[in-house]
Amino acid sequence: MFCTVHPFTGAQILRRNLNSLFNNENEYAARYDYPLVNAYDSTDFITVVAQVPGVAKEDLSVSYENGVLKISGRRKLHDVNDKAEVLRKERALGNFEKSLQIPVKIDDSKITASLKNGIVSIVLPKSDDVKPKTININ
Amino acid sequence: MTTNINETGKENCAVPCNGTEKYFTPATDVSDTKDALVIEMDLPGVEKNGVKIEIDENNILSVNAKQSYSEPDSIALREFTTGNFYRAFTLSDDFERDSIKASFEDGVLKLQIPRKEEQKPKKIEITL
Repeated sequence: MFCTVHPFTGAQILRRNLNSLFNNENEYAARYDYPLVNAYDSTDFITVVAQVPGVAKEDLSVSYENGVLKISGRRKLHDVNDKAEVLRKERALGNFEKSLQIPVKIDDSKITASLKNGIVSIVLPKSDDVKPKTININ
Repeated sequence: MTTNINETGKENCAVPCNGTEKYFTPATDVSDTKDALVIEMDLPGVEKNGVKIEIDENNILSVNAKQSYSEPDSIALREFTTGNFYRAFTLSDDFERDSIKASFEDGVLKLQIPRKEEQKPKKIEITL
């Protein structure tokens, strides 16, 4: 029902991953599918949650257009110290972008998003005409 | 320079781990600035007061973090699962155990472990 929309083809994804091996702070976050998202479908709204630890509010943007929700931003290195010796590097850094197709009609004006402790939650209220209607039996 | 930080397995964990408890291992960056060891750990969904950091007499530094994110019902797409976090490292004797600084922001824990004064690399001038 839900699918993520990949803006890049397989060949471009491969090239990005190879580039990330050679760069310190890459142009793109190391994992091509960062950030990881979950979507929840309840009666009145769709909730989309993404794990974005280390991203400040001003570096994150969420937009909705033509049924596609886009989460994008930048994860920066704090206190870049060139003389530091890197012993272990597991976290993805750099720019990221993820698009999610929302298959239900949404009331655009009522979308809300909040960022807390590295998790961004986006609530998309369903448009009234697509909410399930109970039919009474006479 | 020899490695002065080693990953410690869960069998050495500073908190009791019984067989049924499952922990997620948080993604961590470790770098050495010569003045200090800097550890940055991704802990999304954790509240500041849910983080417990300990260092024991064997120089095992452990981080235990409780997950505060509770997910709504009716999942439609799942790319991540979540739970409590745990990770431990064994430090060498080079570091000042008593002056460890910790900060937590945007779901990332940052630890700064200063190196003991006498262990810092010192330049020696040789005069002819």
